[in-house]
Amino acid sequence: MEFLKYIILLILVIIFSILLSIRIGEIKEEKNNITKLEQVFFPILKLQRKDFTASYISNNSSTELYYQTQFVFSPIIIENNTDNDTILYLLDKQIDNKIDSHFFVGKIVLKKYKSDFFEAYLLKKKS
Amino acid sequence: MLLLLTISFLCTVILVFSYIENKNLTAPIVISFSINLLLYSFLYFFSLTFKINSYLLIICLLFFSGFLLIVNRMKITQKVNFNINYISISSIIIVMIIVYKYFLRASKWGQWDAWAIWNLHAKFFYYDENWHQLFTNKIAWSHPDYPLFQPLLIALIWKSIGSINYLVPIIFNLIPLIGVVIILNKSVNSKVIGIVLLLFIMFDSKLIGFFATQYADGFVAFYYLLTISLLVDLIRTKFENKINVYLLGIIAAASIWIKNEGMIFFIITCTIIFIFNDYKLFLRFLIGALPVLLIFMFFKYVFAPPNDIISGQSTKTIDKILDYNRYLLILKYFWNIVWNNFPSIILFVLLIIFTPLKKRLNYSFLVIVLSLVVYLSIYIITPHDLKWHLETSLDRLIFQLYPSFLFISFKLLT
Repeated sequence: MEFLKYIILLILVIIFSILLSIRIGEIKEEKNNITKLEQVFFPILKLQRKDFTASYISNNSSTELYYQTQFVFSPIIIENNTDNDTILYLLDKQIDNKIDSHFFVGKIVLKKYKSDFFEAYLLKKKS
Repeated sequence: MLLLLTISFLCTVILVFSYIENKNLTAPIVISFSINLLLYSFLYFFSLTFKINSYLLIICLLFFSGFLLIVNRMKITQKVNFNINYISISSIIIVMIIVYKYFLRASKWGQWDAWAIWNLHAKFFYYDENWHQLFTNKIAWSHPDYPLFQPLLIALIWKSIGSINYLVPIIFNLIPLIGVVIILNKSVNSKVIGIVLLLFIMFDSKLIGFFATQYADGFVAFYYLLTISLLVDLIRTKFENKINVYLLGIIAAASIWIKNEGMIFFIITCTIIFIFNDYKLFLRFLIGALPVLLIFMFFKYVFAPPNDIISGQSTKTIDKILDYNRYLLILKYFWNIVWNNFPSIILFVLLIIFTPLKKRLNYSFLVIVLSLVVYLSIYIITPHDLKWHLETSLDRLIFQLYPSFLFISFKLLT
């Protein structure tokens, strides 16, 4: 009888471990804005020093998207303005809104990366 | 490196456990575990602040705790009874379901505040050279003045595994849920009622969901519960174990290192202990709390920018205090949140009022009630839009006190 209880427990632990592994696998595959941003910003993140501050501009004015970009970039500080010499321009493909083309005057594109959801540009003001 | 961190942590947990005098307290191993979480967050904070290698500190701590364990010839006198019966199998099944439900609600990087505040801060602390960039007004929206317990520990674990991984905050935030389950289960003498209590938690999807958000409120709720359970035990034993009064000081003060609201809870606990006990006991409590208070003050003085609620006060504050519509709105939101998210509070309050109780309410209950009153009072003077502030935070504040409320209610009713 005692042996049977141990067997029941063992089976339960195995079932639990399998279910948990499946769920962790699902979380791994989960796609949210942060994972999409990580994907498009990954090459830029590798380029930059960590003690660096950049400005941020996007065709999507959502505060959430800016906060998520800051999360992806931290400890690099990303400011929601165009004051710094280096500017990140994030194009949200799901939004029709475009940045005024005059904005790009006097700036050079250092890098450009694309994903299915976003386009990321690393811009620098011409000195 | 994760192995080194784990071994060191286990050694210090056993060491603190050996110093807890009364092993009949509610879950002494949980108390030891909690104190060590606090200790390791301080250790990493010092390592960053004074630019000392964190592994060096961990190795020192490992040798120190190992040495003390050998010198004291610590013997684990508690025999581990692992009798498998149907009640223990049922308990294990329920705990597994609770954990699984937690994982069902967990998500990559958590809910808004988790990635915008807690996990964001942890990412800063992962980098030895750049962590102080967090304390800038450029990202004031991420509340850099918030205490560091959770971000530091997540960053320390990331460091020990060598990368920033989304699974760490998910698993880390399971700790307070398991802690709450253990303490509530141990709070009742009957194993059958213990099972009922576990079932109660299992079916409370909103409670499990709050822990899965990865907000620091889960740890606040856990440390509040630990403080209340320790206080209840100490009142029951008439404070005969002096060391446990020091432990109470440490545990109560720990909440200020987790979230700013912890200050309210700590000050109320201090006041209540001061009013109902002699000054010697109060002094012991304060001495226990002192290291945590000093480190917290150091952080606030040296690094933290001003808090938004305090710095946002102006001459309009008086008008807000005199505006009775604000009080009505707060009470309306409070009732709606209790009714929709925590209906069991209403049930337990009615049961406590209408059941002839064998036990009497002691002053530990006052700590919870007064904390809630002060929480609600803060909303009167908030510089933010009141509706927005209530909508985004009141449910979490009630959640912080909810496990402690359940603990006291079950103690009274069983």
